[in-house]
Amino acid sequence: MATAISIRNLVKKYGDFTAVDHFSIDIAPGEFVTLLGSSGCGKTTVLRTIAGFLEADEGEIYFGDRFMNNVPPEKRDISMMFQSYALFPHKTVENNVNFGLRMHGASKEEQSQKVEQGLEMVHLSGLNNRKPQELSGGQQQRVALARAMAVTPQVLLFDEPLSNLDAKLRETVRMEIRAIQRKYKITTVYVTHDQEEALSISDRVVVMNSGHIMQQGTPEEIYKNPKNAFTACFIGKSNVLQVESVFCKEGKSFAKTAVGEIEVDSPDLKPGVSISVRPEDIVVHPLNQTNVLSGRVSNVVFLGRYKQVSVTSNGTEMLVEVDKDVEVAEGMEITYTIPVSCVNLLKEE
Amino acid sequence: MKKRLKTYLFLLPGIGYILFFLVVIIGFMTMQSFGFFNYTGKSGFTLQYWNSLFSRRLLDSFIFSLKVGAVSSFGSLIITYLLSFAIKGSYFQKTILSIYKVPIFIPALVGSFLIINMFDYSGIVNFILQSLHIIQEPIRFRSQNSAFLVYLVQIWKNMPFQLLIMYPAIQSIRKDILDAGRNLGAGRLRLFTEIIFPLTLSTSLIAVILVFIGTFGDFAVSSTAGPIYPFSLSRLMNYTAYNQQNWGLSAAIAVFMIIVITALVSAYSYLQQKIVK
Repeated sequence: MATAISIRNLVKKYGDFTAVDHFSIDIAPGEFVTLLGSSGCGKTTVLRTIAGFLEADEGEIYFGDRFMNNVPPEKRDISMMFQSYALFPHKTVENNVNFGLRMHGASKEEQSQKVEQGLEMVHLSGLNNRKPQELSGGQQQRVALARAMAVTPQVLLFDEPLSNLDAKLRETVRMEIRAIQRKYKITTVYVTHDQEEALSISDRVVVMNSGHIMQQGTPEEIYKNPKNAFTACFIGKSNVLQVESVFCKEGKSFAKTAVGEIEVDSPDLKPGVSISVRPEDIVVHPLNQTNVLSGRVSNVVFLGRYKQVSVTSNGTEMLVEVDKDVEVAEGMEITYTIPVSCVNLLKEE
Repeated sequence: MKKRLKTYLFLLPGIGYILFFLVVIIGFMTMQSFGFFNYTGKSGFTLQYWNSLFSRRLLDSFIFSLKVGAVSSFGSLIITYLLSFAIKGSYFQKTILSIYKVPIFIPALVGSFLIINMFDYSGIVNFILQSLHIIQEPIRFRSQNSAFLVYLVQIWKNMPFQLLIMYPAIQSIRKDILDAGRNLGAGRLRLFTEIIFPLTLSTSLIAVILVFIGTFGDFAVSSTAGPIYPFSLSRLMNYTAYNQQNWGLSAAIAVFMIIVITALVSAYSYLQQKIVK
């Protein structure tokens, strides 16, 4: 498979602190990859190293077959959108958008044509002569996108571009970014700490922690089959249970956990490992005789479309999500069922 | 009424002092330039001193002072930009900045003598160049009509002053804006011309004007390190008053210098308003 970006064993240190530790990834042409992790996990460091703003201490970066480690940022044929938009405050919208074109020696006709196209693409036609400070946050974000796209880069980098926008606008701009990326098939690396953003926009999500890749895969894979406790807890909410012992009954494997006995469909099940279950996968009404557990409701939080219920079973708290109409109250004794297909076996750490 | 009077009285030592110099001294000097209050001859209205301003000698002095002002202010500005850019984020930033401020604490006259000593006919620079066999004969840096040493002293003396003004402005440019510029294909030079310079233009204008005013009217450095001909305007003013006892012409030169500087400050204000717009 051809690769647009290939990073091999990237290491980046700040003094004694290792921000990125032997990070490797291959990104296909036109792929939308999101680096997801909490603050300080190294995702922005990877992005800035790809952009050329940081020098790798170890490892190699390739764009296609081209070795990029020593190539300065201005010669990498990439565009980056910054968290703060980084629009040039002294230039108009038009001059911001055509900046990259001028730097690349585009003719006046090409500049004016691409500026018009770019502003039309982000629905900002007619605002050519405004200064960035005369625009709203969302409009500034779109100018930054038009500016980044105007040079038709080989690679597009996004550094938490939506974090300064309100929730509604964030959703709109996110969809626009995805639509434009799909239309122009530009290889994209996107950095965010927002899991919902990562899951909704990406072809592939790379979950990072302490400079390492914890797991990578399609949004669905990452959400449905977390491979470790970090991913299970970082992406959405998860109940993580330690397997105390394992036994077989009628040809099926069962894990003895703090909340009770749970059937697990995995050949790798053994004592000491952990399993995870998403709150929304837990069924409150008993459907069958397997994985039926009971407990006392210790907390109920109404979240609009659903209620988040904390159930204490044998001293361990389980998070359960139920429909908004289900009658549950604190102190109520309930039984709940965990479908076998929803139990994930987590790798040992 | 009493309260207002009290306020004026409090302001008098400050504003009164400034007003005294502005109205009385400049007024007196202007009158002198038109032939009044003559110390050495008859007093009475005349334009002879102002007509004398158009003499070859005065014109040469004016061009000399203008060149010293321009070269010193723009020369030190260029070096300040280069240095600020070079040490931005550097490990030795604080040390370099401390060393760079040293010329502020050395009086202009002392600095001038130090540099003359270095570049004199038998100075260290000629000695090194000769020892390295780069030159056979010592160079006359301080030749008859060269302002080379004046430029050198003035740039050396004014660099730290400009750095104090310029450095915070350059440092205040957000790193992500510079990164965005590089990311979009701007090399170092384009980054400077397209982003750094426009964003610091208003501050650099202040720095240039302040240094220009000081160097345009300089007396000490041009008297020690300057050429035999032409004199700087201040030196010519001094020479005309004390050596030729021509206080009227001296006053005309002084008023002319004030007019030039006022015109420059007005141009600066106009440009500043345009930049803000």
